[in-house]
Amino acid sequence: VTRKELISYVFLAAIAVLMLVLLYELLWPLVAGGNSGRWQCSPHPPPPQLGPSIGYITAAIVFFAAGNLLGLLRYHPAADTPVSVGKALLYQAVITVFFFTVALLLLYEAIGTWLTDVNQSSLWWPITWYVRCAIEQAAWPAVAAISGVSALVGHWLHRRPA
Amino acid sequence: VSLPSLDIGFTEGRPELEPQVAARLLLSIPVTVLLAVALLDIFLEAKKWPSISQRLQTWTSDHPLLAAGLVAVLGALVGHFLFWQFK
Repeated sequence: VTRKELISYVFLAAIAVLMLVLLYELLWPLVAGGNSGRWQCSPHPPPPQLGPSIGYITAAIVFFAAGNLLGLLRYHPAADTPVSVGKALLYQAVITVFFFTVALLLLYEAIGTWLTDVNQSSLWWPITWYVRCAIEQAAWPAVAAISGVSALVGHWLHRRPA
Repeated sequence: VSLPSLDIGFTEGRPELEPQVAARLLLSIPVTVLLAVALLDIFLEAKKWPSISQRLQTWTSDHPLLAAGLVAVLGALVGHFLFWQFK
Protein backbone atom coordinates (compact mmCIF):
# COMPACT_ATOMS: atom_id res chain seq x y z
CA VAL A 1 0.00 0.00 0.00
CA THR A 2 1.46 3.33 -1.04
CA ARG A 3 1.37 6.47 1.08
CA LYS A 4 -1.34 7.99 -1.08
CA GLU A 5 -3.48 4.87 -0.86
CA LEU A 6 -3.04 4.80 2.90
CA ILE A 7 -4.17 8.44 3.16
CA SER A 8 -7.18 7.61 1.02
CA TYR A 9 -8.18 4.56 3.02
CA VAL A 10 -7.76 6.26 6.39
CA PHE A 11 -9.70 9.36 5.30
CA LEU A 12 -12.55 7.46 3.68
CA ALA A 13 -12.76 4.89 6.48
CA ALA A 14 -12.88 7.69 9.06
CA ILE A 15 -15.73 9.35 7.16
CA ALA A 16 -17.57 6.03 6.81
CA VAL A 17 -17.19 5.19 10.51
CA LEU A 18 -18.32 8.69 11.47
CA MET A 19 -21.43 8.39 9.30
CA LEU A 20 -22.17 4.92 10.70
CA VAL A 21 -21.94 6.21 14.26
CA LEU A 22 -24.20 9.13 13.40
CA LEU A 23 -26.72 6.81 11.75
CA TYR A 24 -26.70 4.64 14.87
CA GLU A 25 -27.22 7.70 17.08
CA LEU A 26 -30.05 8.92 14.86
CA LEU A 27 -31.94 5.74 14.15
CA TRP A 28 -31.30 3.33 17.02
CA PRO A 29 -33.63 5.12 19.48
CA LEU A 30 -36.42 4.80 16.90
CA VAL A 31 -35.76 1.09 16.44
CA ALA A 32 -35.31 0.38 20.15
CA GLY A 33 -38.41 2.36 21.10
CA GLY A 34 -39.08 3.69 24.58
CA ASN A 35 -38.19 7.11 25.82
CA SER A 36 -34.42 6.75 25.77
CA GLY A 37 -32.74 9.27 23.55
CA ARG A 38 -35.93 11.20 22.87
CA TRP A 39 -35.45 14.71 21.63
CA GLN A 40 -37.67 17.51 22.77
CA CYS A 41 -38.18 19.58 19.64
CA SER A 42 -40.27 22.73 19.78
CA PRO A 43 -41.47 24.94 16.90
CA HIS A 44 -39.38 27.96 16.01
CA PRO A 45 -36.25 26.73 17.82
CA PRO A 46 -33.80 29.58 18.46
CA PRO A 47 -30.39 29.54 16.76
CA PRO A 48 -27.40 28.60 18.94
CA GLN A 49 -25.79 31.18 21.20
CA LEU A 50 -22.89 33.25 19.84
CA GLY A 51 -20.10 31.16 21.44
CA PRO A 52 -21.28 27.76 20.19
CA SER A 53 -22.13 29.31 16.80
CA ILE A 54 -18.56 30.41 16.33
CA GLY A 55 -17.39 26.94 17.37
CA TYR A 56 -19.63 25.21 14.81
CA ILE A 57 -18.64 27.54 12.00
CA THR A 58 -14.96 27.18 12.91
CA ALA A 59 -15.26 23.38 12.87
CA ALA A 60 -16.89 23.55 9.43
CA ILE A 61 -14.13 25.79 8.04
CA VAL A 62 -11.26 23.80 9.59
CA PHE A 63 -12.56 20.44 8.36
CA PHE A 64 -13.38 21.87 4.93
CA ALA A 65 -9.75 22.99 4.68
CA ALA A 66 -8.48 19.64 6.00
CA GLY A 67 -10.55 17.72 3.46
CA ASN A 68 -9.31 20.02 0.74
CA LEU A 69 -5.69 19.48 1.78
CA LEU A 70 -6.15 15.72 1.78
CA GLY A 71 -7.52 16.00 -1.76
CA LEU A 72 -4.30 17.74 -2.74
CA LEU A 73 -2.23 14.96 -1.16
CA ARG A 74 -4.30 12.20 -2.75
CA TYR A 75 -4.39 13.52 -6.27
CA HIS A 76 -1.14 15.34 -6.83
CA PRO A 77 0.16 15.25 -9.49
CA ALA A 78 -3.14 15.33 -11.35
CA ALA A 79 -3.78 12.54 -13.78
CA ASP A 80 -7.05 11.81 -15.48
CA THR A 81 -7.40 8.13 -16.16
CA PRO A 82 -9.68 7.28 -19.06
CA VAL A 83 -12.63 5.16 -17.95
CA SER A 84 -15.02 2.86 -19.78
CA VAL A 85 -18.56 3.94 -20.65
CA GLY A 86 -19.97 1.69 -17.91
CA LYS A 87 -17.79 3.18 -15.21
CA ALA A 88 -18.46 6.71 -16.45
CA LEU A 89 -22.20 6.00 -16.18
CA LEU A 90 -21.72 4.71 -12.63
CA TYR A 91 -19.90 7.88 -11.64
CA GLN A 92 -22.49 10.07 -13.30
CA ALA A 93 -25.28 8.16 -11.53
CA VAL A 94 -23.68 8.51 -8.10
CA ILE A 95 -22.96 12.20 -8.56
CA THR A 96 -26.45 12.81 -9.93
CA VAL A 97 -28.07 11.01 -7.00
CA PHE A 98 -25.99 13.07 -4.59
CA PHE A 99 -26.92 16.41 -6.15
CA PHE A 100 -30.54 15.30 -6.56
CA THR A 101 -30.71 14.50 -2.84
CA VAL A 102 -29.32 17.93 -2.01
CA ALA A 103 -31.85 19.56 -4.36
CA LEU A 104 -34.73 17.61 -2.77
CA LEU A 105 -33.66 18.64 0.72
CA LEU A 106 -33.44 22.28 -0.34
CA LEU A 107 -36.87 22.05 -1.97
CA TYR A 108 -38.29 20.57 1.21
CA GLU A 109 -36.67 23.38 3.21
CA ALA A 110 -38.41 25.93 0.98
CA ILE A 111 -41.79 24.16 1.30
CA GLY A 112 -41.43 23.77 5.06
CA THR A 113 -40.51 27.42 5.50
CA TRP A 114 -43.50 28.47 3.41
CA LEU A 115 -45.99 26.17 5.18
CA THR A 116 -44.95 27.17 8.69
CA ASP A 117 -45.22 30.79 7.61
CA VAL A 118 -48.76 30.26 6.26
CA ASN A 119 -49.88 28.09 9.16
CA GLN A 120 -48.03 28.41 12.47
CA SER A 121 -49.18 24.97 13.59
CA SER A 122 -48.06 23.23 10.40
CA LEU A 123 -46.30 19.96 11.11
CA TRP A 124 -44.22 20.24 7.96
CA TRP A 125 -41.26 21.88 9.58
CA PRO A 126 -38.34 23.32 7.61
CA ILE A 127 -35.07 21.44 7.91
CA THR A 128 -33.63 24.40 9.80
CA TRP A 129 -35.89 23.63 12.76
CA TYR A 130 -34.87 19.98 12.80
CA VAL A 131 -31.19 20.82 12.54
CA ARG A 132 -31.40 23.39 15.33
CA CYS A 133 -33.31 20.88 17.46
CA ALA A 134 -30.64 18.24 16.82
CA ILE A 135 -27.87 20.70 17.69
CA GLU A 136 -29.64 21.64 20.90
CA GLN A 137 -30.31 18.03 21.89
CA ALA A 138 -27.08 16.42 20.71
CA ALA A 139 -24.35 19.03 20.36
CA TRP A 140 -21.31 16.77 19.95
CA PRO A 141 -22.82 14.45 17.34
CA ALA A 142 -23.88 17.63 15.53
CA VAL A 143 -20.29 18.90 15.57
CA ALA A 144 -19.13 15.51 14.24
CA ALA A 145 -21.70 15.68 11.44
CA ILE A 146 -20.75 19.24 10.51
CA SER A 147 -17.06 18.27 10.48
CA GLY A 148 -17.59 15.12 8.40
CA VAL A 149 -19.80 16.78 5.81
CA SER A 150 -17.48 19.78 5.51
CA ALA A 151 -14.39 17.56 5.15
CA LEU A 152 -16.03 15.50 2.42
CA VAL A 153 -17.28 18.52 0.48
CA GLY A 154 -13.90 20.24 0.86
CA HIS A 155 -12.27 17.06 -0.39
CA TRP A 156 -14.55 16.74 -3.39
CA LEU A 157 -14.35 20.32 -4.46
CA HIS A 158 -10.60 20.50 -4.34
CA ARG A 159 -9.37 22.08 -7.54
CA ARG A 160 -6.30 20.32 -8.79
CA PRO A 161 -3.48 22.39 -10.24
CA ALA A 162 -3.28 22.12 -14.01
CA VAL B 1 -53.24 24.83 2.94
CA SER B 2 -54.48 21.37 2.13
CA LEU B 3 -51.89 18.66 2.41
CA PRO B 4 -52.14 15.11 1.09
CA SER B 5 -52.78 12.58 3.83
CA LEU B 6 -49.93 10.28 4.68
CA ASP B 7 -50.65 6.83 6.02
CA ILE B 8 -47.41 5.75 7.61
CA GLY B 9 -48.27 5.59 11.24
CA PHE B 10 -50.17 8.85 11.35
CA THR B 11 -53.60 9.13 12.86
CA GLU B 12 -56.73 9.97 10.90
CA GLY B 13 -54.83 10.82 7.76
CA ARG B 14 -53.22 13.84 9.39
CA PRO B 15 -49.45 14.06 9.42
CA GLU B 16 -48.65 13.75 13.10
CA LEU B 17 -45.19 12.32 12.91
CA GLU B 18 -43.50 13.49 16.07
CA PRO B 19 -40.96 16.24 15.34
CA GLN B 20 -38.16 14.43 17.13
CA VAL B 21 -38.80 11.32 15.01
CA ALA B 22 -39.00 13.41 11.84
CA ALA B 23 -35.76 15.18 12.78
CA ARG B 24 -33.95 11.86 13.16
CA LEU B 25 -35.34 10.45 9.91
CA LEU B 26 -34.65 13.58 7.92
CA LEU B 27 -31.09 13.99 9.16
CA SER B 28 -30.37 10.33 8.45
CA ILE B 29 -30.92 10.92 4.69
CA PRO B 30 -27.78 12.98 3.95
CA VAL B 31 -25.79 10.87 6.43
CA THR B 32 -26.80 7.70 4.56
CA VAL B 33 -25.90 9.22 1.19
CA LEU B 34 -22.47 10.31 2.48
CA LEU B 35 -21.88 6.88 4.01
CA ALA B 36 -22.74 5.19 0.71
CA VAL B 37 -20.44 7.49 -1.25
CA ALA B 38 -17.56 6.97 1.20
CA LEU B 39 -17.96 3.18 1.03
CA LEU B 40 -18.16 3.27 -2.76
CA ASP B 41 -15.01 5.41 -2.83
CA ILE B 42 -13.18 2.81 -0.71
CA PHE B 43 -14.30 0.09 -3.14
CA LEU B 44 -13.13 2.10 -6.15
CA GLU B 45 -9.80 2.84 -4.46
CA ALA B 46 -9.28 -0.86 -3.79
CA LYS B 47 -10.07 -1.69 -7.41
CA LYS B 48 -7.59 1.01 -8.53
CA TRP B 49 -10.38 2.75 -10.41
CA PRO B 50 -10.67 6.53 -10.43
CA SER B 51 -12.56 7.47 -7.28
CA ILE B 52 -15.75 9.49 -6.98
CA SER B 53 -13.65 12.25 -5.47
CA GLN B 54 -11.36 12.22 -8.48
CA ARG B 55 -14.30 12.46 -10.87
CA LEU B 56 -15.80 15.28 -8.87
CA GLN B 57 -12.49 17.08 -8.76
CA THR B 58 -12.20 16.80 -12.51
CA TRP B 59 -15.68 18.28 -12.76
CA THR B 60 -14.61 21.00 -10.32
CA SER B 61 -11.60 21.85 -12.47
CA ASP B 62 -13.83 22.04 -15.54
CA HIS B 63 -16.54 24.09 -13.82
CA PRO B 64 -14.93 26.27 -11.14
CA LEU B 65 -17.85 28.71 -11.02
CA LEU B 66 -20.38 25.95 -10.40
CA ALA B 67 -18.12 24.49 -7.72
CA ALA B 68 -17.84 27.92 -6.11
CA GLY B 69 -21.63 28.13 -6.21
CA LEU B 70 -21.91 24.80 -4.42
CA VAL B 71 -19.50 25.94 -1.72
CA ALA B 72 -21.53 29.15 -1.39
CA VAL B 73 -24.73 27.11 -0.91
CA LEU B 74 -23.04 24.94 1.71
CA GLY B 75 -21.66 27.98 3.52
CA ALA B 76 -25.02 29.73 3.44
CA LEU B 77 -26.75 26.64 4.83
CA VAL B 78 -24.19 26.16 7.61
CA GLY B 79 -24.45 29.83 8.50
CA HIS B 80 -28.25 29.74 8.38
CA PHE B 81 -28.56 26.59 10.48
CA LEU B 82 -25.87 27.26 12.99
CA PHE B 83 -25.14 30.89 13.43
CA TRP B 84 -26.38 33.00 16.25
CA GLN B 85 -28.83 35.80 15.33
CA PHE B 86 -29.46 39.24 16.70
CA LYS B 87 -32.73 39.34 18.58
